[in-house]
Amino acid sequence: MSNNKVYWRGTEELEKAPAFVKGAEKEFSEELPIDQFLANKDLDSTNTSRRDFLKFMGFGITAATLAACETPVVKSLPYVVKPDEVMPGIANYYASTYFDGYDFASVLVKTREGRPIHIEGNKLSKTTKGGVSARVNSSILSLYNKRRFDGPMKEGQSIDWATVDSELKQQIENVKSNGGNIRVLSSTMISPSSQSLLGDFRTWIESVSESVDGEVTAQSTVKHIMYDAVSAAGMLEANKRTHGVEILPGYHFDKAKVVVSFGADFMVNWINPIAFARDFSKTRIPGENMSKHFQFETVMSTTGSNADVRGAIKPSEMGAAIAMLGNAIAGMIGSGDKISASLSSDDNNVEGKIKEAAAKLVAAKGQSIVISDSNDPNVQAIVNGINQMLNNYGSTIDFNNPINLRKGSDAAVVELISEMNNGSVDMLLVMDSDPVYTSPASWGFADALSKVKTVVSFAEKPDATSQNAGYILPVHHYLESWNDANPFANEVTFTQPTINPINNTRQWQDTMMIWMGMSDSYYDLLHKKWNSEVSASDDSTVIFASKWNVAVQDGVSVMAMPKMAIEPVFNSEAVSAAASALSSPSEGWEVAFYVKTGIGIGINADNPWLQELPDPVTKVVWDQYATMNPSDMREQGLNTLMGEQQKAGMVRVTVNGISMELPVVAAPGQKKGTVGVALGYGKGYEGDRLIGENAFVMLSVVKGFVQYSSSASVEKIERRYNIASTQTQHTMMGRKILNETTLPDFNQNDREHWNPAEMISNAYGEKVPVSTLDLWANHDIDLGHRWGLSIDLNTCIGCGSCVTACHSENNVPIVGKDEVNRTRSMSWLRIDRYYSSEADPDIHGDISQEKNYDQMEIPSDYPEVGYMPVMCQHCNHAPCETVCPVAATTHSNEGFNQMTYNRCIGTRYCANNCPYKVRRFNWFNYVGDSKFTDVNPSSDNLARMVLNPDVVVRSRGVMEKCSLCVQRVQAGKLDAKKAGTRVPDGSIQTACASSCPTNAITFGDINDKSSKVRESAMNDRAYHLLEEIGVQPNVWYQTKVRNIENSAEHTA
Amino acid sequence: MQREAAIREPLILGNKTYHQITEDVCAPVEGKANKYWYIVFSISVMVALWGLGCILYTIGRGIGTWGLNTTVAWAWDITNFVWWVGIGHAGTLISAVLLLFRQKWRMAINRSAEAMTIFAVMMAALFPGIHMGRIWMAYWVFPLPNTFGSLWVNFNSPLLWDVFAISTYFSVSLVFWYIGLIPDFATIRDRAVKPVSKMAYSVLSFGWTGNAKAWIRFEEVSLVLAGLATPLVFSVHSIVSMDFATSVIPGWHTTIFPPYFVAGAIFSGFAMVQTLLLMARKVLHLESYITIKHAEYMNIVIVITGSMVGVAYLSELFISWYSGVEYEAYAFLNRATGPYWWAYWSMMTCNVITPQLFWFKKLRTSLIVSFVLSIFVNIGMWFERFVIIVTSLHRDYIPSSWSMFHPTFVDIGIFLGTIGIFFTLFLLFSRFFPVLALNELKSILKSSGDNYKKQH
Repeated sequence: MSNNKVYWRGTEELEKAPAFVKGAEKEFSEELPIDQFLANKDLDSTNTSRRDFLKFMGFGITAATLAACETPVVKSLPYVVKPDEVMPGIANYYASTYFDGYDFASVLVKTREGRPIHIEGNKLSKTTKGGVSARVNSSILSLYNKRRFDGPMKEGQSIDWATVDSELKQQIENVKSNGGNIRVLSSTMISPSSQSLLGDFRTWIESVSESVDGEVTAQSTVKHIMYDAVSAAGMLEANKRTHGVEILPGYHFDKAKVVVSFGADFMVNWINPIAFARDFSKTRIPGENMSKHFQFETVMSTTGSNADVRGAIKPSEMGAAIAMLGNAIAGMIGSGDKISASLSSDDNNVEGKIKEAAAKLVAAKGQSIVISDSNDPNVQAIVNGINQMLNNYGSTIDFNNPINLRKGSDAAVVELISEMNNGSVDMLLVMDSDPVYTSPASWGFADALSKVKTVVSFAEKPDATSQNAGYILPVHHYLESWNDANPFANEVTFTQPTINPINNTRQWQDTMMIWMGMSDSYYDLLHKKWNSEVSASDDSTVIFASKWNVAVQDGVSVMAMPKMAIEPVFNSEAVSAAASALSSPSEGWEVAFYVKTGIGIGINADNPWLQELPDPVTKVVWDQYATMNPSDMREQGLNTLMGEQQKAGMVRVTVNGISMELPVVAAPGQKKGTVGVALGYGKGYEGDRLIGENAFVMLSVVKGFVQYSSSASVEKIERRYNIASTQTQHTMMGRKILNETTLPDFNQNDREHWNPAEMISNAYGEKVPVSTLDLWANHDIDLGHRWGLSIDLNTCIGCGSCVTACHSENNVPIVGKDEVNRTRSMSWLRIDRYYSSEADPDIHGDISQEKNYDQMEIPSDYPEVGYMPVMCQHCNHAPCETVCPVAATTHSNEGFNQMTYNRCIGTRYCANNCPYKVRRFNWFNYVGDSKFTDVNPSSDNLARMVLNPDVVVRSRGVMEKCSLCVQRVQAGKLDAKKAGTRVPDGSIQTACASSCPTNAITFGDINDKSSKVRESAMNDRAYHLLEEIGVQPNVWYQTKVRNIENSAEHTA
Repeated sequence: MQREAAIREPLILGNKTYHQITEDVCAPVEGKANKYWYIVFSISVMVALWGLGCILYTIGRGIGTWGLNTTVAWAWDITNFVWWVGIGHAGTLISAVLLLFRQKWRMAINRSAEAMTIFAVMMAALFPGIHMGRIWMAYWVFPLPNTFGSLWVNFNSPLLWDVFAISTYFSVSLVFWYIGLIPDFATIRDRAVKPVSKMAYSVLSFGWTGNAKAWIRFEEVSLVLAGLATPLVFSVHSIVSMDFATSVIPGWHTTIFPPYFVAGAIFSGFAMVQTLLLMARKVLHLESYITIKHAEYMNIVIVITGSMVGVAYLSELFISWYSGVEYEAYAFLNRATGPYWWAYWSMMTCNVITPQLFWFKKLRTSLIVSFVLSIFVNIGMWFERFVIIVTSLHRDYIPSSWSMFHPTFVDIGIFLGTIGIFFTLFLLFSRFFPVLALNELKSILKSSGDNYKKQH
């Protein structure tokens, strides 16, 4: 049906008005003045011709077209008012303090345009002295962790701060009026201001409850419980028994000539490892005064792998071994009672090593340290007795400069749990701690927690405790916080924010102050506290404001702290009591729980830098595993090899009725009959995969003290599991790669004997050093700068701090487990770990005659270990440079082997021709490829903020490698140019060199006659890796010197 | 008119006339393809498409889709490259070197051998392209004037030498092949009845008139090109070998490589020619032209070059021990006894041991044995390149970096894909191009033809 409707434009049309009808046919109702326009005489006189018109048209269209094709606009907003201190392109450094309840370090935070991007050590600190560890310098990435809470939560639902504050205030009022109990649980708290705030909180609660109606019905109580995931309670208890003081003494490893450690991983884990490693490295300079380090332990730890003499013992033998040492020393100095002690099995001459240790200790009386990581007060008491016999107190071990880093008490937690269980805890505040995760299952912390009326978790990100907490009041990352710390009696350090809070979070201190109705912030509290402390004890005329500014700027201060004056009196009866209470070694499988160098106790287990940091010893990444001695593994039919298609066998480890199924990794040096299991897993993720399981639950508790070892049952299961490792070949195959010698050899013979130059026959058949024969024209390397590195293999402990520092500085991509398994780790700097042992004629045959290569691939059961950091060697005759068809890698006139990313077409010929295999190829687009979305921080918009804007993120298909931090060198040169000076030695540091806790890496100008790097590159210990192929690197290595009589001594 | 000794075996069997030769050679072009051709062609196209898909996937996602790693940064890509280049050697050798040496038996095989060369070099040239991380920048390897600043190629790099060597070889081979095709195209043109094919072959034959002057020029150009191509036969693979020989990697850094590679290339090229021709002979009914004698000649070349390669392998082993260089000694011991021992012994078996069977006349004149052994050689020569590339790289100087290479489906897909593309091209060639140099064959009919020999 057609539409009969009529549409009309107006009444004129409807009525057919004549004026309308006349104009209706025209497009324009009015006459256009065209004729008039064309008649205009001026038109002819204009300069715009038809051709010009076409030109303008053409230009206009072209311009419009081009404008339409413009690349997407990325908006960058300029500062309307630029902050004084921020200069785009110039980094700002802020001193701060890292303390997470486990690791402590004074740090410098590098920020660019308001973003913290890198962490270095604070050289002003008297304790950590500019050292950092991998865990500390990786913490920068945790700031940008997308798993962090954004805003408070109640029962899993988001809630706003005002509501949560009022609700909790109300609950606190209720507790107060009902005389309830509030408990505060944290890890060791070293912040004096936080502690005094907690004191105020307690006073507030307890005083108010008294004043209700003047009638005290029930007294409210507040208690603060400190609890460490890896406890030193046994040590504190032992010190209380033997010295009457419940503190940890300061240890002066720099004054020790002999160190005997029973299980204490003091270079990377034990109490204050950064400072200990740094101090101890000073004694490791080869020469007459080089220290000697004995380690007796179960799992090959990072520290143990660096020991001169290492004995493998079962965990249950530790007490006996220490007692044997004590007996031997007592025998030599003719004092003390003998303790009956013996090892259950000794397959690596532990007894002989203990005797030797005793002799060395006695010879270095007063200049030695004996330590143990045992949490059994009896064992620790015997250690104290030994140190007392050796007169170490007051010289190397100092109660007047105690360490505050471990104050947790196992007994206090047990008491808390029983309080919780009987329902007397009304409110539990948990901060800096994840007790549900870190406590042994036998404590039943989670069950007890459910009986607490209100649980408030001050967590940064989801953890086991916050999952069980009614309220989650997320806190700042430390880089967003104010705080102070008192890690050692004589040092105060400060934490200051380096960025505005990224998420909707609040420091717990601020929260508590709001509850208490205080109007000022925690910063004000800090400021006031130190103002009063200083004015009370200091009479100097300098006003506090300037002192405060200096202190915060420096991050460390000697602002008055009460001087410790402890005169501990040694109580020898405590030692004999301990000796009689010593438990004896047990038979059967034992499991040792240990803390890994990268993952630690799991606080930053979701940090991909740390997950991809190879374990120093096993070189495994992204996984938890059980370590076993390879000979045990062979006995059980487990695969000892690693590789892309070498799946690891698995075992079921059962302790206290709790089982874990773990892949097994061969760990030569591990005591036979034991299994090592790492703590700190079951917390981190790779994409959606939860990595590992929580082993803390398997810990057993003996007489109230948590024990980090236990007897266990171990059975092979048929499953197999892929393990990714960055190194699958473990020995040097008899090559001179990691050059090493013994101290007597070093002291008595000249370098020809222990570091011979590589010789080659010239055309006349004369032997000449390799470096003198040369096919190539030399680069002009004697003029100007010639940057170089010198790496001391003697002080390198393999901790991997340099590796994560390099990742942070150079935006090195994280590639995930699967890619590492395919030997595609992108790390510019790798630390090679080699096992070595004297060739066993039975196994290896006579290797001087005939190379039995198959057998040389297999490390011995109890080998020596050496670490060798390898990065681009910046060869002066670089094999990579000649083969690139497009000259994308070239030599600079300052000694760099440079990589021009945007010229590279990715033939990978350079990587093939690199004898050191240090070139890394961008196999994928690590930023955009879906495989890396959940793994590589730079593919996440938030985590991208950690990228260093001075270093480009490399595209797919190009080669990359160590640049010796060329961006830092350029910046340093510019600074010197502005100052009108030569580049001062040491003013430029590569990321690896500055992060090294033991100063094993020295960077500088080889052409600077007074530079440190030149001095070490020219000394007798220096050599080039693969000198014989004549590539003339700009990286030198310093021969490793082991303080042993001969190499057979160690491996026994 | 040339005369030939009567005791020489005839190269053209049967009672052939000039016309008969034309008929025989043009038959596949003019007739319809049989069922087998379609089956083989379909399979080849499917494999080729799979390979192209893998190539596109690689280009789209990255080289990480291959099994390469930091330690072994070249594996199947360059193995395939060298393998195809090697195969691409026979054609030019047959047409150029044998032309100069006046070997008449080349005339039956040179056309397809050259076609095979062209296609093989095309397959080879694919790999240096797709193995690049950024193939879209591949033109940077040419010394082109540019606006990137004064950026120029690095003349020190053997990869650049490769670019020149391969492109020169490819262009000379192509021209040589095409010049040879012109008179034959003209023959087809003259016989064509359908307008489209008449048109196409007219264009292809460049207006060949067939007069005496044209023939004289044709002969001269062929001779000149043969003279140009002959050194290329030796230079191309010498230069390819320098990719390895000039490096510092033990197992690569070897002065024996240039002659060893050339011998290997001829070896593999003849084997591939043998494989293809024995199939073509059967499928295209060319038994009269590709005779057992031809197969025997090629088998002789195979056994000679195979023995040269064998000597090279043994010299390498000896020198690695004799040099006293730790890394060198290990590299070769590792080849034979390390994790890739199976690749080494496959190579040894296929390249050195099995070709020795050709010393027996009975075996070298057996077409079945020839065919099977030619496949063996193809496999062996692929393993040779794999052994050189992968087993040298996977365990070089620093033991901490040692690793293994495991190919992915993309690696395998691309390799099979190039075989698919190669066969697709060759099958198309056999349908549209004269597979035998018919005009050249006619020139020997009266000296080496069976019936003419019998008459004298």
